[in-house]
Amino acid sequence: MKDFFKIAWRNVWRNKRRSLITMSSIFFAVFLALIMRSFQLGSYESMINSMVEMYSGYIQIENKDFPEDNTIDNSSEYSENIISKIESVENVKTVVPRLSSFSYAYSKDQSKGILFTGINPQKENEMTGLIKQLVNVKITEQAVNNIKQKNVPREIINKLLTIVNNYYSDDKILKFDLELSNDEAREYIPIIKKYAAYKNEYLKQNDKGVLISAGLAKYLKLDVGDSIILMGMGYHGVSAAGKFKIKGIVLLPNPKLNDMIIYGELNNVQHYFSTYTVSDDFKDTTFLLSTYAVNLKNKDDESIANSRDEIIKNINSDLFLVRGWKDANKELANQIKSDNETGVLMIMLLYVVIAFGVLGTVLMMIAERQREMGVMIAVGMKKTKLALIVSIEMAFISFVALVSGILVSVPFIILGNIFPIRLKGEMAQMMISYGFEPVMPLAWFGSYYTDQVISVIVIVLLVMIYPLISINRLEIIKALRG
Amino acid sequence: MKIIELKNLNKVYHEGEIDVHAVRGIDLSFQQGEFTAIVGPSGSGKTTILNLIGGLDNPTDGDIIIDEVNIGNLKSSALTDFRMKNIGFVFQAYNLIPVLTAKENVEFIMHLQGKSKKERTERALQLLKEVGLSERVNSRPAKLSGGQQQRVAVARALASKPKFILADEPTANLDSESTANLLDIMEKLNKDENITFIFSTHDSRVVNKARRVVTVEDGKVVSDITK
Repeated sequence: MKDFFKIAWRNVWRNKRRSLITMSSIFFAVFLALIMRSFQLGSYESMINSMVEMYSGYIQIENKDFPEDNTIDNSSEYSENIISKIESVENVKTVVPRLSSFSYAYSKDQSKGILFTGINPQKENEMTGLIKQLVNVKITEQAVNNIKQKNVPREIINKLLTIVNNYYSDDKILKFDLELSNDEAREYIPIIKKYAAYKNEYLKQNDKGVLISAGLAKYLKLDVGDSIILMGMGYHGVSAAGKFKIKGIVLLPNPKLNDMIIYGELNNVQHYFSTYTVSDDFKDTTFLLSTYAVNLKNKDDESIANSRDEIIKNINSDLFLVRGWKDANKELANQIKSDNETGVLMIMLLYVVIAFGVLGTVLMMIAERQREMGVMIAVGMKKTKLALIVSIEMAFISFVALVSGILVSVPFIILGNIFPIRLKGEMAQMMISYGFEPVMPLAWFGSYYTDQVISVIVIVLLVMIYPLISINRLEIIKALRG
Repeated sequence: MKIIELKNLNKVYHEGEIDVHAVRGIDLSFQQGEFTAIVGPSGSGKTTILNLIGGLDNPTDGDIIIDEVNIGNLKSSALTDFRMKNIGFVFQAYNLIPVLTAKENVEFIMHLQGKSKKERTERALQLLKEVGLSERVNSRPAKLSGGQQQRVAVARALASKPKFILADEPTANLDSESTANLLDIMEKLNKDENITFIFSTHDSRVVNKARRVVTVEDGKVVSDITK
């Protein structure tokens, strides 16, 4: 066997250029397929993260009529007992009660339709990390003037002037927007943060204040400490109106939400919308909410379906509708599904092209070695052993190319995952208009790596059929004549 | 001792709508230790006879009996085994395996026979010494002259200790000196080790060395002279 490997290895390198071209074609196919797939899956993760993980939850529990008639009148009972039942499912990580409805927000100069959402501040933070999204830097002209006095390079000042009135909750995004190197970021971001620091407060239990999303704050020209007037329609036609003090500004990854959401403490919002019912004897008050948003530990489709079934069993009530995120957010699920199918098709096309390239190499290899193969069989080599040598050659070429493709992709995947590409310009605008964060992260290593390995193995096995048939049909006399 | 017997051997090639009778009813036998040349003009059927004896081609009709085995009855895999154990080949175009060194080419058949590495190495070096290539054992075919390659091919043919060696125009691509050298080696192996050689050739130098000359024309034996 060792000698067969030796012959195969030398055969691979007897025509270096051809072998290298074949390896390169497989290498680039694997590399491109991995990067393409990683971009795709990464963007889905980002979408799911900004829409599902950070907001709607993997399972939503609502009034059974809510999907048909998406109004506050179809709110459902808020009860700690129900939360306990949901939390008793092993895969459940957090349960967040929310009450959401639309209202009009008024500032001194502007008004806008907004989504007023009542939350349990502690639980909401556990699920969405809302505290981290509180703005900690706001670039103002005054702040830029102060920074200018601190020997900050002129080009950084110029860039700061282009982002006046922008909010930041993450140093990485500030670094990216200012196009700073790591050294520059280490030196100048602390100075910027010192002079452009933005003070916020997160909501407390029974808080009467609100958090306002950064896009909305910019539109309404409001800041922390200002008041905002909300007016709308509450439960069963009751008018809802209130004046709330802004305690903080949050920068949300989902651009759509970032332009329209105001968070209030759940009880405060329930009173604003009058979403409660009183028993006939006026002794008991039942508060209502729109959704129990549930985040899970394991988020694969099977775990979501199993958790959903367990929740239905535990709640045991016909009044609730329990839906996985793909049911609750069909638009996003379908968008991901169709995009995924297109991506898989593109990769399949790429592999088909590569497969024909490899087949071409194999055809040439077999054609030019007819005489040699004839001699080998003439002197006593069995066709099966000859086929084994040719198979080892193809396996060598594929293995080297496959491993190289995988190894070269690794640093790209790590870098692209840790430092996702932030889109700018029209591309960014397009992503924002679809309601997604304008980033292109690469997905971390996962089953898509195995998929590429399997794809290459299947291609090589399919391509191998030709030489195996050729060797089996080889006629010694014809082969010896060349 | 008779080692090869051809009985009423026929071979017809179908080329399009034309049937070409390459061998027509040949009856021949070869004894152990013969040094035989099959001669004849191009297209007379010399190479076809050698191919049939070597089990590389199937007769249309007739029997080929080698050491009491009718090779026409052997299945493909068994025939391959039979060739490996009993027949050595020397081809006109040398046909060494280009990725193997001279020594590895000689070892190749022994490897197929399942001989140990030690045995393979010793015999390969011994055979290469006999054909005068001790200094070139680690050279690949591309680094050897035509004559040297053909000597490696002879060593390879001998490696499996075959009952006989079939050499198809072995000197056709060689210069005079290489031809003389090769013929001397083969004659010495024939005389010293009683190895049977059957050549197809139209090289007069080979014919002169041969002790038996079988002349073929139009697929028929027209003369069979033992010197």
